[in-house]
Amino acid sequence: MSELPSPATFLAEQCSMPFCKGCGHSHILRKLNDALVQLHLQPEDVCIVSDIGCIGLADALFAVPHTVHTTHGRSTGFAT
Amino acid sequence: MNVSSERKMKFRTGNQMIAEGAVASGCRFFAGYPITPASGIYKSMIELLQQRGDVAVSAPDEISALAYCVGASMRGYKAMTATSGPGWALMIETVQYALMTETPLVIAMVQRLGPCTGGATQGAQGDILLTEYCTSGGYTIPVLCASTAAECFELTQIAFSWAEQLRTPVVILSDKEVGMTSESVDYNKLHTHSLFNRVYASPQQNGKKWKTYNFENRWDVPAFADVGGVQKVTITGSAHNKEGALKKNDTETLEVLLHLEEKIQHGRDELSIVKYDEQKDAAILVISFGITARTMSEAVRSARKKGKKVSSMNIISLFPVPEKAIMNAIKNVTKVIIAEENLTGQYRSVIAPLLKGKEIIGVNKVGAMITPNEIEVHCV
Repeated sequence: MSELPSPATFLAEQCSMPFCKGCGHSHILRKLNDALVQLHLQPEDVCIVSDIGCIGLADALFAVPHTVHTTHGRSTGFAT
Repeated sequence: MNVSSERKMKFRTGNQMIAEGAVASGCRFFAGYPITPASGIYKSMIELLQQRGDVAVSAPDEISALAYCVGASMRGYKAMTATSGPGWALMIETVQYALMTETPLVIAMVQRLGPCTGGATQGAQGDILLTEYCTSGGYTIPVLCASTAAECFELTQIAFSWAEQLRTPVVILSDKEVGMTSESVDYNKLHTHSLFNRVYASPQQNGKKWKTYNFENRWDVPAFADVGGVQKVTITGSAHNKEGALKKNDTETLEVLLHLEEKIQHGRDELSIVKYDEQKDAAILVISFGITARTMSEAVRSARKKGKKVSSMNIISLFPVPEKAIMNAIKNVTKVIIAEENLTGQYRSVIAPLLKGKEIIGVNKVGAMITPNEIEVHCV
């Protein structure tokens, strides 16, 4: 593990979730961020690979790690 | 460059030579799904890459195969897949993704008879337009077409160089006859091409904010940074600005869309490859490509023996269309014969606007190879 301090958050500053009220995406992405922080990962060791649909908006929210927004149903293929 | 005047003969298929050309180009990743007549590339890549400690993956389908390749290329590895018409149909969305995300890739397309699953072991040249015009918006995909096993080796190297130089998917096109027929290849006569490797972005941006798709002029190719490297990479297959952030119709996003085509068009003359066999005072020019170019050579040889004056052109770089080379070759001819193994004259339809005032003859066939005589009868 790198000696550099890992980020306190992987989200953009003043991150505002763009999802509809009641949508679970906001919770999932915040918990994903919590998990990344707890794992003490370096930014270059993380790539968030997203799919088509509103979850694809995740790239704009995660300002710190690499992000790859892919095609419908194929995020695992690109990430393999 | 010829390395020796001595002969070093091997018996090779076009498919094997595409695989050997890929390895010679520094390809370190292959993912594919077997399909006749392209399976020879799949088999050879698995053998060759494993020997070198590189990666060859059997994907669950063609869509995944190309997605794997995109991922490998984004990590900085030269990647290739191989397929035929039915597999290409599945890959089209991901080909567009690679084009939109400026991901270097080589796709070997070995044509067989269509439509649909057509005839697995029947040759054809019916995927010319399907290959080139597969993108929404009609963006240019460079397509190289081989007619011999040796050309398969040489053009695969060029395909990798173009993909790396232009950061775009490039197709090496062949057909069942070229791909699966074994023929003698003199390795000492194979042309090895100097390889172009993608230009990496400098970690130092001189105070400027790093952008995944930075370019000054619209035709510039952005410097590459790999996913997992020190620069944060932002990639999307949706319309995006230079930072790679998903955007709608703002000025910079439209500029990126124009850039995707202009980076290809700007240097299109350097992407022009033809084999022009000119005969002085010829009033007839025969044009062909792929396996039919070999039939064309035979037809022209026979016609010349009978005193006919005929020139011929084997078009290697089908796209971007080598317009200047074609325009130069038709200057003094009155008749242009275009031979291709498909029903409607697909490439003829592409170049016909260049041939105004000329008599245009299409020689077409499906389900069997065109014979030399079927071309020669028009050489009058």
